[in-house]
Formats: sequence, C-alpha cells, structure tokens
Amino acid sequence: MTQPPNQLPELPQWMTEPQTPPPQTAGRTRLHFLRGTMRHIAELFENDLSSEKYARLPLYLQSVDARAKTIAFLFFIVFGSLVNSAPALLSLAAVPLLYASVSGLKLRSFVRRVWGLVPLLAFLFALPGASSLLTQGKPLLIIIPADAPGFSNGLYFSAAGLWSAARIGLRTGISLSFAALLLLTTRWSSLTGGLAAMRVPALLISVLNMAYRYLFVMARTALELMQARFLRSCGKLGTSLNRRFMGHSAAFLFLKSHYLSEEIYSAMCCRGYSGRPAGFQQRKMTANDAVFLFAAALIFLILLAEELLF
Amino acid sequence: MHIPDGYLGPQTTIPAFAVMAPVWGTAFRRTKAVLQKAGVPTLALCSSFSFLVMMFNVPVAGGSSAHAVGAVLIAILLGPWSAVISVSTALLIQALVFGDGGVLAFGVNCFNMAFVMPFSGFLVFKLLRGKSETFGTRGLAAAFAGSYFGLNAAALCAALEFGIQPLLFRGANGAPLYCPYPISVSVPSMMFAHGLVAGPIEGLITVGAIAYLARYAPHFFQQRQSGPNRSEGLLRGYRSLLLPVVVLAVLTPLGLLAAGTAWGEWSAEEIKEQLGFIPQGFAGISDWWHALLPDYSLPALGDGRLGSAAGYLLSAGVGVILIAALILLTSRITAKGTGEPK
Repeated sequence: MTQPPNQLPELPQWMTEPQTPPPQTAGRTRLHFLRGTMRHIAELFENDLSSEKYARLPLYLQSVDARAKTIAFLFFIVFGSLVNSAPALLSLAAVPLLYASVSGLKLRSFVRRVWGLVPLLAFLFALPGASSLLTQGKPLLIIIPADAPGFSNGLYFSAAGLWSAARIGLRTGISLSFAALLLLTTRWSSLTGGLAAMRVPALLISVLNMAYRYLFVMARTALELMQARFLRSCGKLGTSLNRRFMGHSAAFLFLKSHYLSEEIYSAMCCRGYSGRPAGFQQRKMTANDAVFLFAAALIFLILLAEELLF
Repeated sequence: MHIPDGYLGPQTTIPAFAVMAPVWGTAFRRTKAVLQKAGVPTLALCSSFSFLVMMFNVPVAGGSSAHAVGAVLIAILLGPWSAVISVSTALLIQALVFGDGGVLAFGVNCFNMAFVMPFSGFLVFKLLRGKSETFGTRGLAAAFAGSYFGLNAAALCAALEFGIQPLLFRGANGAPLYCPYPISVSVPSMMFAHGLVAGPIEGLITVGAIAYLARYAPHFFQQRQSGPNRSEGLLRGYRSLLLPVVVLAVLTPLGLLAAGTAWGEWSAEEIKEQLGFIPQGFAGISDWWHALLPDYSLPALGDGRLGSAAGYLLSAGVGVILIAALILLTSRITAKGTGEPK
C-alpha cells in the first residue's frame, strides 16, 4: 500500500496497517473442526453431482424402474444379513460391483466410496471381540503365546473368530453397496416416486423430497458460515470459543430454516397448495423391469444354493 | 452412534421398524395438528437442519472433534414429535446418501436417536426447567442436562442392542454371528465415550444455540404454540400392514427358543430323520456336489486348510461367474428393449 491513509477515511486504521503473519503454534491452527465440517458439506454436493451424472446414463440399472430396484436391493440386503457362508457372502459382495460395471459407474471410485472406510472400520472394531478374549477356537494366528507373562491363555485369533469379524465388514459393505447403487442409478424424484408407489404415506414423501431439495440451500448457507469463519481465523483460538461458534451456527441455521419454511409455505399457497400433497404419476412396469427382477431372482437362487451347500 | 448394517441381526433390526411404525404415525398426526398446513415445509426444513447439525464437527478439548445430534435441541424448539420426524428424515437421507447408518438398521437408529433421545431429553428438560423461562439460567441448565441425558439414553440403547447380539446369535462353532461384544463390554465402552465427551458436547451445543436464539430471536420462544391437539385415525389406514408386522415382531424371539437347525439348512441325515427317507433329487444333487468338492475342499490341494479355503473361493468364483453372466445378459436384453445405445 503506497496510498496515504487520508485517502481511505472510511476504513478503520487496523485495516490499513501492513499485516504480519501470525505466530505458528506447533504447526496447528486448531481449525480442523471447520475443515472437517466444510469437507462433509462439500461431500454432500459431490454426491449429488455424481448421482445426477450417473443416473442420466441410458444404461442397465438406470432404465429399470425404481420400485423394482428398491425391492430387489432391499431383498439382497436382508439376505446378506441372514447368510453366513463365505461363498454366499463373497458372491453377494460381487453382485453390486457387477451391476455397477454394466451401469457405467466407475468401479474404482465406487469401490473406494463403498468399501474404503465404513466396512473396514466395522471389521477393525469387531477384531478385538473376534480374538480369543471373547471368541475361542483352534488358534490360527497367535498374537501372544500362551506362556507369556500376564497372559496365561495367550492371545490368538481362531479361524471362526476372524471370519466373524470379516462377516461383519462384508455385511456392512454389501448393505452400503446396494444403497449406493440405488442412489447412483436413480434420480431422487424417481426414488421417492417409487417409495410413494409402495404405499409410503404421501406426507412423508413430500417431507423427504422437500428436505432433500432444501438441504442444498441450507448446506450452502452452512458452508458460507464455515468459510467465513475459517478465512477470518488465524492463530490459536480457544476451544470454548470455537464450540460457542458452532452452537451459534446451529441456532442461525435453525432460524434460517424457520424463515425459509415460512417463505416456502407462502410460495406454495400462491401456487394453490391446499394442504394435501400432490401424488406422483408413476410409470408402469415394463418388460425390462420384469427381466431385471427375473435375473435378480436367479441371482438369489445361486446365492441360496451357495448358502445351503456350504 | 449411527449403527451400520452387519452389527445387528435382522431379528433385532426388523422388529425395530415395527416399534417405530406407530411412533412415526403418531408423530405425523401430532405435528400435522400443531403445524397445520404449513407442516410439510416446516418439517422438511427442520429435517435439513437436523441433517446439517449432524455434520457439524464440534471441537473437543485436546484438539479432537465430535459430532452433535441435535435431537434434543429440535425437541426443545419445536416439540419432541417434530424431532421424531426431522431426525428420522435426516437419518434416512444419511443412510442413502452417505452410508451413515445401515438401511436395515434405519429402524434401530431412529429408535435410538429420533425417539429415545428427543423424548428422554425433553422430559428431563421439562422436569428441571419447571415453570422458568427456557432462556433463563435454569432453563439453559435444564437444556444442558436434557441434551446430556438424551444422548446418553440413546447411547445406552445402542449399547444394549449391541450387547444382546452375542447372547442371542451364535453359530454352530460358538462364534458370534453379529456384534461380538457382550453387554459387559458394550455398555461401559459406549457410556464412557458418550458420558465423558459426546454428552457434554451435545449439551453445550444445545445451550449455545438456545442462548443465541434468546438473544437474537427472543420472539421465537413467544410465538411457539403449546399443547398439540389430539386427532385420531391416522394409523387406521395402515392397520392391515401394521398388524402382521407386530405379530411377526412378537413371534420373532420364539425362534431363539427353538432347538435344531435353521430352516432350509438341513443335512441329508436330518432330512432322513424327519421324513424317514432322503428325497431322490436331494440325494442326487448332494452326491454330485460332494463328488465335485469333497468336504468343500479342492482335491488337488488336499483336505487341509489351504484346500478348504481354495474350495470356498472356487465356489464363490463359480457363483460370481454365473451371476456376472446373468447381469450381462439381462443388461443387453434391457439395452435392446429400450433401444438406447450402450
């Protein structure tokens, strides 16, 4: 800044002073909670964009009715929670990947999204319980030998124990895979339309649709709140101060949602809203849907055979 | 606290839907009566708010962060029935969009976070606040206590749901089929984390939000209506659906008392014992399969652990190839049917 201060009368003095970088506090500014929240909100937009991108493709699952997909995938999820044999569970885990590959989804990002974190964590959390501390059996993997001091029985994993932990991870991943597959190959409106056709109350469908739509409006506001705070923060801030900011942000968002709902309601009334949600015009099931359901039934029979034979 | 699928057996997750169905029905009826025609946008926006609050990372002493749930905050601001709808909707979107909480576990998650948490928290808040103002010192203390209690009540429910799994569901080899931790492990570990960290955070966020509203939007507390009108008959239309679900839910635990093999998992010997003979087709298939994979192991690799593992993998591989062929075939038929380019 080479201009003299008297040419900027409306700016406070501290804004015209040259800025000195804040002292580094152990390499951490303690703003990770803001980064984490912003990352979560950004993921929401990212998910919606990828959903829209894939749901538009004229490929296999995209051309199947939402009702048929919902019923078949729910059935697979329930089946996955009941089966115990390794071949059946491993084959079932492969089913969404196969569906994804013929429906134009990028396999690597699909696998990373589904199997990258939650099933892995589910497996790791189950591991201590799968050890000889809670699940005994024939030792397969010995961690601490039986004669070690303090561990009279030692610590080991049996095959049954390891499989019980792996089964939890697999079941979690299978459920996530089918849910992700449904969302990525179906537009939200078709999905809720399918739910409406399955006799889910219209009021719930209306709430769900509107909540999803305005979620992005609210998320943008929340993101701007976090970004504004992040850009204005430097150095180390007190934890209680940061917590208070998050509390105030929650209250601000609540007020925003309250006023927005009043505006939306007024807009709905202007368009002739009578208090009764309008129904969805669901398209009829086609031969494609029947083929899909028939194939799903055959897949189920293969999986059932694997479960019964092993 | 979002329970994913895999930790709980369907005998726990499916009855949870039956428990929640009347709760959701009543919640819709009560909120509709209070909010009148404006109910849909108010509930929808509250659901969006609930979803976003669950995304907030709240700083914890020591540089870590935790998530808030916000169910008691919504219960205090709009009533516990509104909280049921808002948090349930948020949980459904989370399960589908983010995979936070399982699809089958949705009923259980709603029971914990959308029912137990707002109601228990709101009850404690009402009891402690008495006739004081919500944004007075006593009201804020009550809000803190209510949020703390509500979150811990929900955590206790989740811990109990985890803890009963190894008691109820074990395989023939004694290994747990679902969550391996008994109540003696699940309850202390869940309650320690929630009592010490997540509970106080939840309380502080609720107090911070109410204090902000009291200062910048006090009219909100004056506008709030109280005493929802009772209306009847919403569940009547779904009685036919609810009754069998409730009956099934009641009968489900009976299966645990039954001795013997699970339905459809009979061996040839068990079938012979029951029927007096082995059906010819069953014996044929059984013999054919066992000739192919004796003791489910690959003969070339012996009948040890390696052979057995290879046999399992081969079986899974055969299944996957069959399924892949089916999916490819039907995808081609579908592409031809729609006339869309592949």
